Amino acid sequence: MTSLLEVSDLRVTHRGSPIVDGVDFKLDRGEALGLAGESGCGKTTTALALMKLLPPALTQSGSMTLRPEGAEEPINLGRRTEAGMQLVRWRHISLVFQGAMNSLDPVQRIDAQMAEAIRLHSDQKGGKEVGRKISDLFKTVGLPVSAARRYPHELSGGQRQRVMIALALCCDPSLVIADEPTTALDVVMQAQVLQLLERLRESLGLALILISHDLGVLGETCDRIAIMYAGRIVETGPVRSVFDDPQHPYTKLLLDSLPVIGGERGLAPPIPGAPPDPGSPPEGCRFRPRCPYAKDECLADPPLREVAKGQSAACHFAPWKKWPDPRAAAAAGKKA
Amino acid sequence: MSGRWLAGKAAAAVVTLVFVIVFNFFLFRVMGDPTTQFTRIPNITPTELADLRSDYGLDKPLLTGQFVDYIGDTASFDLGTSQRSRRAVWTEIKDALPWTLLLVGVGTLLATLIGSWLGVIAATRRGRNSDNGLLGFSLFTYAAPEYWIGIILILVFAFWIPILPAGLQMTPGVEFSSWVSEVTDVAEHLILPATAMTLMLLGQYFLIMRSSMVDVLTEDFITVKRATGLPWDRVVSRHAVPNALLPLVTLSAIQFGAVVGGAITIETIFSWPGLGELTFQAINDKDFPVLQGVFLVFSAGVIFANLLADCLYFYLDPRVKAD
Ligand SMILES: Nc1ncnc2c1ncn2[C@@H]1O[C@H](COP(=O)(O)OP(=O)(O)OP(=O)(O)O)[C@@H](O)[C@H]1O
Ligand SMILES: [Mg+2]
Repeated sequence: MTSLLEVSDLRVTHRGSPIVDGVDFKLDRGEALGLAGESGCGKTTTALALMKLLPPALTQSGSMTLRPEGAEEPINLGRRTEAGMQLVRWRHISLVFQGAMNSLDPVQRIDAQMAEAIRLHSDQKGGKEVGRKISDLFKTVGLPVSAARRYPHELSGGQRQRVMIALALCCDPSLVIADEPTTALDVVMQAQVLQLLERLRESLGLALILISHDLGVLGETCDRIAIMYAGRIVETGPVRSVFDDPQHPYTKLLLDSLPVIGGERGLAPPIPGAPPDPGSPPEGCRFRPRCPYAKDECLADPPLREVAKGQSAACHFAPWKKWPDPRAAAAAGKKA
Repeated sequence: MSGRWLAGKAAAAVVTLVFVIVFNFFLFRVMGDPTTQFTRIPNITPTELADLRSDYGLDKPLLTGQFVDYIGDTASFDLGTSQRSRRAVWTEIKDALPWTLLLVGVGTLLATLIGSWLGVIAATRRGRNSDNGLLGFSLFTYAAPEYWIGIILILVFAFWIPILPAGLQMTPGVEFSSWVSEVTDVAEHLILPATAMTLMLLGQYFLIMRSSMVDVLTEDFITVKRATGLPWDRVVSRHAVPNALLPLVTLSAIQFGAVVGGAITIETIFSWPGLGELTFQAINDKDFPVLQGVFLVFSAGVIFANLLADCLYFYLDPRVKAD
């Protein structure tokens, strides 16, 4: 089976300094991929690059191939011009944005904004048809149909995020990119919105790229997960394998720092240090300065390679059979 | 409810107007005894002076006499008599007002349209040559005094290249064969003063629209609209501009005070027989009743413009209705 989206060597630079530095991944039809990593590692930039929506200050390169259902030929996103991208956007890939508060035009009614998107990509120009489509979508995302006549400020944050999801679905895309769709919401709302996304994915056969720094959220929703560090994917694989048996020290420490509810420690130790400045990354492995297991080998750049079934990691020492105690390892590393 | 909101705004406007009327009375008494003006008439006798004082009601007690008369007269549109022309102030104002409305209306309309249009263009080309050029041009017109602009226009288009009249509102002493030729004549006379007015106001509208657009264009919903596949020009015209217009509406109302100041200068330079020129002459002649009347009309104009802006804002921004 050919995959829905194939990205290889995606790079984004800002005045020559890399922000996204050679990202490769594949996404199957109907698959949910989680993208995790610390703030500033390039998750949103990657998402915007997939739709070629980066601000003019950023330049992108690399190949991105989309094979939507029913399309005769694969769409080469990397080569598409702005006009060509306008036909792909929302028709095949849609976006639920980080911070739903400002994702809608504040001075236009919601139904007008949805109708605009629907009319843009379909031949349904009739007001009745479009109206029916909008009320169907509102029912799908669990909103009262009357909310469509409202202005964005008249809805709560949770309702607005549902509107955004309805908007993302309005042209029946094959891929939805959701960039931290729940960050601004309370826990209950968060769970509801995530359940909604999961349900829709199953019933509509959508592929989903879910971006979050909350590994717990990704673990529940996604099939596969990719961990980003300083503009690169450092580990990727099926969610269960990565969670149960991480193969990159960064993933390992990230998982260890998750608070365990009912666990002994209230607060887990965070990873010491800060991510590198993307403009001047350290030589070799980018995680080296913060890695307790770093050795001389790490001065060479580790490639992302398959280390277990379906699971890849960018670490010279993978596969890790067992993880030494990080503190002891760090102390030993210093002595050596 | 929108009706109650409007009623509240209208009530506030009326209260402001009443305050202006009261203030106007005391302002002109603080400025000194108007009859000192008459003592410049050579050989005036004390009895003649006393007669004049009683003619103008200046012998009555200030609060219980003059103030009560003033309020009553103002309420019935009796603004007194011009000391210069001996005509009723209200008549003088009524004759001048249409000319001012024409000039200010055309100037404001053109400045708003051209200024905001250029602002949109500059904001969408931020940092490029066209943006820098427009920025320079508008800062220049903004900084240039309006009398200077007026004189340059007269110099260039009435003397060096004599294609337009240098002043007045229509050719004097001409019997117009039809209303069409009369309108054409007025329009010809309007071009230069209206251009001066437009240039005077343009800069601010441009700068506000530009910065407002620059702000709006960084908002998330602009990226979302682009993500839906909407072409850029439609993202700008349908979503960015309507949002960016909001500060412009408020500015237009606040600007109205500056418009009044500019009207005085421009009308005087172009001998345009509006309220501005009337004011200028009244200042020269120390014609207090006319000044008092013109002040009142200008203040009422500013208050009305603000009310209008509030209504427009209410119509344009649905979020206003929420509070
Ligand atoms: N327009 C821009 N100009 C210059 N640098 C930018 C621009 N946009 C993003 N960056 C830089 O790119 C890097 C990645 O930003 P990005 O928004 O993709 O991070 P993120 O992983 O989404 O973080 P978060 O979890 O906080 O949303 C950051 O270091 C940021 O400073
Ligand atoms: Mg982000």
